[in-house]
Amino acid sequence: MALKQIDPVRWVLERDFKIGMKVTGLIYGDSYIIQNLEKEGALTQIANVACLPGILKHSFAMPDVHWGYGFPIGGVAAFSLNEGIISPGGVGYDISCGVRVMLTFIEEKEVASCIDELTAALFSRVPCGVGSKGALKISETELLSVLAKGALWAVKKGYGRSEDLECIEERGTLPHANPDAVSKKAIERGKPQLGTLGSGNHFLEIQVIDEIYDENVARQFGLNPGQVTVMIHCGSRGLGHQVCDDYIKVMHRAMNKYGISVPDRQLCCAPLKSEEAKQYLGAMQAAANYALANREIIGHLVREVFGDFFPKSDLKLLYDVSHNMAHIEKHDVEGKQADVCVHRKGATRAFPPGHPSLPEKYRQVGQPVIIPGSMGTESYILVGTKRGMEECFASTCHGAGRVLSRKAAMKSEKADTILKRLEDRGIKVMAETIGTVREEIPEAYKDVSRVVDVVEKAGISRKVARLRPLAVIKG
Amino acid sequence: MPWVELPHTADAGLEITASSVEDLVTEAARGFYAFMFGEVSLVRSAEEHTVELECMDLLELFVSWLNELLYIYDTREKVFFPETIEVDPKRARLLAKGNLHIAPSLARAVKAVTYGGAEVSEGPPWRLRVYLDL
Repeated sequence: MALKQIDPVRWVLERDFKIGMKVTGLIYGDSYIIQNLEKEGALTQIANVACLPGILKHSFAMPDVHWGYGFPIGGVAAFSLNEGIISPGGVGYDISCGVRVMLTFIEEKEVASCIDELTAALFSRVPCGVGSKGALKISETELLSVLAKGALWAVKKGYGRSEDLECIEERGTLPHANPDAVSKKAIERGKPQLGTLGSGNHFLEIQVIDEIYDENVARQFGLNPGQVTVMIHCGSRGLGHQVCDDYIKVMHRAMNKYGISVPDRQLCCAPLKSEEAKQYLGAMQAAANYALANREIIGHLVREVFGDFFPKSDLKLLYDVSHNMAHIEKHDVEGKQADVCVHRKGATRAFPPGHPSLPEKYRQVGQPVIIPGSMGTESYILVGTKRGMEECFASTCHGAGRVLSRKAAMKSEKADTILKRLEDRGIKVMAETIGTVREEIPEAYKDVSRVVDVVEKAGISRKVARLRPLAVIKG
Repeated sequence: MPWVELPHTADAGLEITASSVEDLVTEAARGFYAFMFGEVSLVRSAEEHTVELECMDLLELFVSWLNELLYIYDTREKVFFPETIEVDPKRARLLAKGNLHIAPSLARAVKAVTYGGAEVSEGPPWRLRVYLDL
């Protein structure tokens, strides 16, 4: 068998699994995760990524790995700047889809007394659902400014706070964004959607910290037992989807030009040194800036709603991080520091203590890593580690990871039954479409606690706190 | 039914069959809309629309066609069932003309039509398989 277990949570996919693999696959998982993985197409996708030119170390799969398109979801791959490539399929359609956690200074009992009204107010204030239009009406010129400046744009326009910026990856602005590389079609799609949550697995959740695992790091992050938090999960909406689609076509042509062949067309790519790669990087960063601004604006709307209910309350941003991105980062490659292009498709960057990119207040302990659970289950705050930096390009999981297809999930239970079951556990759910509730049942996902235990046992990130849901808003 | 839904862990697939390449364009649109909206009863608008595509090959043509329908929905909240369709499969060109219709309420959101696992086979019968990012 090509899959070889090397320790309780590490499995190697040997190069003889598929002709053309340039490196082995390294999969993080326990027996339950590996059994699920073998039932579907994700192993082939891990092997396909290992065939890409200039890949370094391994084609990695985090324990929330599952069958995606092109890259598996939970896939991480880094490429040399000289011999390597960039692939829009390694980032995905929802460019810079990610999560943020905001900390309130309110306790669970205070929120419990008004949870129905608070959830309804958030549902009404934060536009969600497919094709939802944002509360902001902006011109095309303003949108170009969003694409160039990201969350900084939102802060300058009064939809956020300047102190938020240091707690957003890249300080809220991807510096090499090129709005000119974004098509008219993408701009047309993105203009009315700024400040919207979207649909599918995107959500806004009110949570409470119910367990602390690392008191020292939790103190540094400002996390206390019983404290209410808000988690926001969304991305770059139609703008990002269009950028990905536009550049997949560019890459198909580039592959002919540069003589590259790939085992799956969704993995189409161009050499990192090429003009096509520069254009894509510029457009991708612009779409990421849109996503960072989007989450900052939604965070502002959440602050307004909480302010109506708790006038003395304040919400502080813990961190905001993407899990669908390609970043140029400095890593150790064969004993030397080198710039490499790290693709994380459904995987989270997790910088260790001391990393220069981290804000001063987190530099001593490491980056907060946000791992949302499925609807109705716990979420986690982790912290990045030195081992993760050295072994898998400072990456970790991004969630629970699906095990059940949406079609199968839709057949399992009626929406009313699901909502009642969650309400019995003290979790209020409001959703724009009933179909979303059925597709997103907790059983459609792996047990997030098990996924998080794997990354902790592997030492690539460490548990800090667990968050229990009180109310969920879905698109 | 000329289309079936294929299972996928996170997303969903569609397989569409038709007797000619022009019918495959029509049936792909029908299947795609049926996935998104369920039953589609049309309310025609006065807005005329043309889609013109020149692609690298037939697979890119079909993926682009469905992504174009998504773009129309995303920006105008309309659906497009063309009345005339011309396809040149060798040159991977498509010209579709017709009216836009008011979109029904959405049942399932689609982010994009992907190339992952996508295939088109020439017929008859013509067959298209695509996976959707949801």
